[in-house]
Order: sequence, then structure tokens, then C-alpha cells
Amino acid sequence: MSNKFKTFTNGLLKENPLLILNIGLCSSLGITTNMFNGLGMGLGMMFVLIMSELFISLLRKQIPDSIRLPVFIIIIAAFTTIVQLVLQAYVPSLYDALGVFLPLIVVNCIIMGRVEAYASHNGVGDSVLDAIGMGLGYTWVLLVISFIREFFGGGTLLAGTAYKIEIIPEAYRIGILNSAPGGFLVFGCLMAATGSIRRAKEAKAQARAKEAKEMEAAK
Amino acid sequence: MSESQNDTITVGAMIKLGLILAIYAVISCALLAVVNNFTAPVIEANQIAKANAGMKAVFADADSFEQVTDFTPSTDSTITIDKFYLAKVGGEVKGAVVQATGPTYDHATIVLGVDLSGTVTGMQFLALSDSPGFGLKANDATFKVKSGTTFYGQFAGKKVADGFTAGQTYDAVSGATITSKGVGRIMTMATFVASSYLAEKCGGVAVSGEAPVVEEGKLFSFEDAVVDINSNYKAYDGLSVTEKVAVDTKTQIHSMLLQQGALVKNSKGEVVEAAISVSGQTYSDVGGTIVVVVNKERKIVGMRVIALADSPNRGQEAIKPSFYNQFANKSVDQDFRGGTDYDALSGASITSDCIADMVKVASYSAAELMAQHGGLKAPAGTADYTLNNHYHEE
Amino acid sequence: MELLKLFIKSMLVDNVVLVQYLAICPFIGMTSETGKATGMGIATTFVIILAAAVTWPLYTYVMVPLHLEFLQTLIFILVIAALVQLVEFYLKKCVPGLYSAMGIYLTLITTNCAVLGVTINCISKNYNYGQSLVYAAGTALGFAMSLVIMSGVRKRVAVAPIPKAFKGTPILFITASLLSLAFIGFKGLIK
Repeated sequence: MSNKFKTFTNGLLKENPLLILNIGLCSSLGITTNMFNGLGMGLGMMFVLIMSELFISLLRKQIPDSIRLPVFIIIIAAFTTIVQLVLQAYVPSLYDALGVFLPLIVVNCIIMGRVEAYASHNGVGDSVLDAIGMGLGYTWVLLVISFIREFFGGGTLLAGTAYKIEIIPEAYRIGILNSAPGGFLVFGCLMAATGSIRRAKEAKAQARAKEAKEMEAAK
Repeated sequence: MSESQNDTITVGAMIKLGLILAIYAVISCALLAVVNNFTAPVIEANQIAKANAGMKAVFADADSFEQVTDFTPSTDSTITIDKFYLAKVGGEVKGAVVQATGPTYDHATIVLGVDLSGTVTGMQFLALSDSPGFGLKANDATFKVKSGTTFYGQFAGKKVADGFTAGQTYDAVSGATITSKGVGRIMTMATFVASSYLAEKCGGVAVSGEAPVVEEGKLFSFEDAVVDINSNYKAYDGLSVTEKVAVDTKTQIHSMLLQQGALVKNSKGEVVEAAISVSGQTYSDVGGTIVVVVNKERKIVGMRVIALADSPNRGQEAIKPSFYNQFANKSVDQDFRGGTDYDALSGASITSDCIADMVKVASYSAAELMAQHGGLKAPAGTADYTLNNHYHEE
Repeated sequence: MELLKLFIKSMLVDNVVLVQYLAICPFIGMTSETGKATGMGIATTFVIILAAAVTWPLYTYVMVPLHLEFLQTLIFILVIAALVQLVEFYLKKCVPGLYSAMGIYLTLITTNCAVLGVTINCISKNYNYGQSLVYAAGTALGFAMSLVIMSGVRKRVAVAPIPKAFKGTPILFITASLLSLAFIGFKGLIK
């Protein structure tokens, strides 16, 4: 069971697709101008990822090796289209806000990467857990980025929904966070921050391991 | 399965692979078709509701709209009627919703509703590209005009028959006269088209008056301009542009070029006036051409615009009598400086000054031509005149 | 004239990487050497233009009349994958040196957001065929250009004193942010 748990948490932190593996970056910067969009994109991508990993893992023995890439593409594209159609019909505001990034879920490296690296070699249960973990890892990073950009750049919270609250008055907003340079900046800083936290943790763990070894040796 | 798959796949194996791929593709497409079946009608309904919502904002009572295309088009070349819908309540036509685009300071697209009794039911901007803080205030929900409503909100309840005159039948945005007037012009045309259609086909109230008068200014040909300039002067009966005179069209005078010249003779055959046309820079890249008629006493009889393609509602207003008549009866030898010797067009000082410069050059050259045929000679020192010179000479 | 404006607009003002945020993966992953960046840029340019050239008529003359617009994502990405395969075959046969140098990067062009993004944009922006090709060419060249610029900057960054937290990929994003800022300066160029 703890193995399953590890599979699940893998995507959250240790192998976080955006911050550690550096894949799936396009959409993370393109639509994170407010949290509603960030959440929407995260959930949409998660749906496609889960369904794709599910089905590809299910069918992994049925897919001949030489055509596996086109088949993966077909399956991923099918689910992406489903998300597109459903959003267009039932949440048109999100559909408009995500724009071209919605169909681009199909070329999101995360999905392709995980499907190729994991789902095509592992059982259904594990694949789904991996998908949920990776999806959540992706979504939480999106939420953080979009929170920073929305709050400091737009001065609002929950813009795009019916609950929009304007917090920071117009004069104090950092407008640049709303546009391209700001997105890159926030992401770079976020990566630096999480990177250094990780390194600090690793250093501590290593130091502890070293200490334990020394204590063992001293015994 | 064997390892050697790379280059030497048999045709049979390829076909098998192709088939498997095709099966996956077909299943996926079928799945998508099923989903599409459910979502497509919802999507379409969304889009209709969205379009309707825009129209309901200006015609709140209507519950359905029908697009028609057989309305009389706009009689003003700068204003287009983009869309025309009949607004219906329970299937009965109660009015019309019109979308029109036309020039303001830049340009605007408005949508307005008119009911059968000739009353405006509402107006909104779909697009307004004027200056923020000035013309753009017309579309600002927080900006109120004199009557206490938003600019676009004041039109609901107004009668089409009263017309749309800025400052009189509706409030303008202070500091944005051009925008306000431009909107009024678009509304006049749009409501005219709407009411005539309703009157003709839906039992709406009859429309008074003719189609809105298109801008009173127009461009003239050289000959027509001379005739028009003289149309007020009874003293010169029987005038004719009888003699075209060759002018030096190659040498630049203050960066301008002479185009045509002519002598105007009366019925006795005496030369009474000289006319010269000049081309020069204006605000737009293509510049303009004007013609000035000068009499024996070195007085400008009048000026007309032959060619000009500046911004509508701004520089292009120079073709109207209210602008060009300012130069009539002025001495050739005076300066033409904006603000002192003539009133510049509002929002178009560059065009105004450029045209004034062209008037100076043309009139001076015409007076020279006249001097060769009995007119007064140039007083000393007048050859060295100063222009507004918006564009630096080389 | 209008086409020229469109070309410059898609190359500079709406630069696909620095303004539209597409194709960031190769932008970060493929710019450690200028040679790699140039090769990737050229190959992607070829694929983008080819993809636009094929998908536009496919959509306009086949999918729309048959009411298959909802299959746009699926069909477009398959076409792109097929085109990349074709390019691979061609390179393998005719320019094997380039093929082995590019290696796996060629296949990665399939998942390049910019390629699919361009094909979808041509449809959603209602461009005609000529405009689509110009838009694709401009976008592709903008992509190649930003790759090469980034690879040049990276060389400098590699020898600059960078705070430990930012070493590696984070500083590349900060760099991209500055480049993006520079490109925003093009905004007034084409109205």
C-alpha cells in the first residue's frame, strides 16, 4: 500500500512535472492570469491525463509497439476533444478564457511523457494513481502561479467567476505580472524557490544519513 | 515478436498495423461523434443566446429576433448598416435592432433598438476605438452626462423624429465633441433605416423627412470649382474658364506643386479672374489639392478642395463650406495663420494649417498670373511670405 | 502590403514563444547549443509551414462540408504526426547526417505546441489560404529566431555569476522574461 501511496505522491513533489521535470510548460504560463483559469486548465488536463493513462494502460498489451505513438495520440486527442466539447457547451466562459491552450492539451508533454513512460508498462491501478498524482502536482503549481499573477498583477481574487473580489487598488497592481514577461518571471522564481527548498532538504537528509553512518561506524 | 522490425516490415504486417490504427481511429471518432451529438445543440443554443443577449440589451421586451437583409442601405458612404434584425414579442414584430458602424474620432460600432412608435429603446456600443479619457468615456459605465445617465444610456426613450443633435436633443461628452457628433450622425442614419423599414413593412409610424443629409461638403473638379466659387457673384455674369494656362508643374514652391492654371473671362472677353490649383502635403500620406480663384484686386474670390483624403470628422471637414468660405474675400497678401487669420478645424489643426498654406501659395501664384493680364502687381516685400509650415522644408 | 504586415506581426509582435507562450519546452530544452537550436528551428519551420499548408485546405474543403469540425484536434494532430514521420523518412534517406544529429528531437516536433497552435489559429482567426501560409511562415521564423537568440544568451549566462537558487533552469526563465519584455517593445509596430 505504501508503494501505491508513493506512486501517488511522486507527481506532487518529487517528480513534479512542471518544477522538476520541466515538461508541460506551455499551458502553465499561457493561462495562469487568474485562478479560475488555472484551476480550469488543471482539472481539464487532469481529466485527459487520467483517462488516457487509464485506457492506454488497459490496452497496453493490445497496442503494437511500432504504432504506439499514433495510437497514443489518437486516444489523447479523443479525450482532449471531449473536454473541449463539454466546456464549450457547459462552461463557455472557461472555454473562451483558455482559448487555443485547450486543444493544446493534446500535445502537453506531461500526458505524452507519462503515457509513454508509465502507463504503457504498468497496471491500470498504478497508472491511474500516477495520473492523479501528476495531475494534482500540475494543478497545484498552476494554482500558485495564477494566485501570484492574479493577486499581485490583477489585484483580484476569483476573477472570472461570480465571486470576484477586488483587493488591491489599481494604482498598486504590478501590471507586468499579467503579461508574458511576468509569467516567465514568476515561474522562474517559483522554480528557484522550490529548487532551493528541495536542495536544502536533500542536504539535510544527506547530512543525517552521514551522521547515522558515522554513528554506526563509531559503534 | 521478432526484433527485426525496423526497415524490413512486410507489406502484410504494415497492412495489419494500418488496420489496427484505423480501428483505434474509428472507435475514437465514433466516441467523439456521440459526445458531439450531446454537446452541439447546447453549444448552438449558447451562441444564439449570446447574440440575443446583445440585442436584448437594447430591446428588452423582445424574446426573439429575425435577421432581414432587404433594408435600404445607408446613404452615407462612411456609415454602414452591418446587421438588421426585427425584434419580436411572441412572434409579432414590435420593432427593429440595427447594428451600424461609422466614423467618430476614430470609429464606432453601435447597436440600437427602435420600436414601432418611432422611439429608441436602447443603444449600446459594440466597439469604440476613440481616445481613453476623452471619446472613450462615451462607453464608460461610470461616466454620466448632464442628464444623469451614461452617454449610451441617454438614448432610450428618445423619439427618432426629434433627430440627434449634440448638445440639443442629446448630451455630448464634454471634451469629446467629435466623438459625440459622430455618434449622433451614426444614430441618425441607423434610426432612419430602421424606421423606414418598420414604416414600410411592419406598420410602424411614418417617417418624416428625407434620408439624412450626407455631409454638405464635396470635392470639386477644377472647372466646377471655378464655377461654384463664382456662383455668388452677380457682377461676373457669363464667366467662363475660357483659357487654360500652362503652369510650371515641376518647380516646387514651398514643397508644393502647381497643378493647373486658368484665366476666367467675362462675357466681354476681358480677363477678370485667375485660377490656380496646387497640391501639397496634408495630414494623410496622399496629401491634397485645392484651387483658389483670385480677382484683379489681389483678393481671393474663393477656394475649393479638389482632392483630400484625411480623417472623416476631422481633417476631411475641410471640404465643407464652413471651412473653405473663411478664405473668401481675404487679401492675397495677408498671412494665413491658424487661430488668427482663420479658425482651424477642431481636432485637425495640421490639415487646416496645411490647407491654409496651400491657399497662400495658390493665391499668390494666381495673383501673379492675374498681374500678367491686368491685375494689380504684388506690393513690395510680399513675395517673402511665411507659412504655417507643419512639415519642415528641405 | 497587408501580407507583409501579417508576416512581421506574427514573427515579432506576436512572437510565438516570447509573447504567446507556446513551444517553451524546446525553447528551454533545445537551446544549450546554437547548432542544436538552429537545426531545431529550421526543422520546425519546415514542419509548421507544411502543416498549415495541409491542414487548412483539409479543414476548409473536407471537414467543414462534412460537419466534422469537432474532430479538428484529432485530425490536425494526426496530420502533424504523419508529416513529421515523412520529414524523418526524407531526412533519413537524403540528409542522413542531419538526421543522426537531430536524433530524437525530430520526433519531438510532433508535440511542439507551436505547430498545432499555428494550425488551429489559422482556422480560428479566419485566415484565407494565403494569409495562413504567411502567418505560419512568420510564426515559424519567429520561433527559430527566439531559439537562436536564447542559445546565444545561454552561453553568456553559463559563465555569469548566478545566485545558487537560480542556477540551471530558473535563470533561463528569468532570461526569457527579459527577452519577452524586449519583444513587447514591438507592440506598436503593426497596428
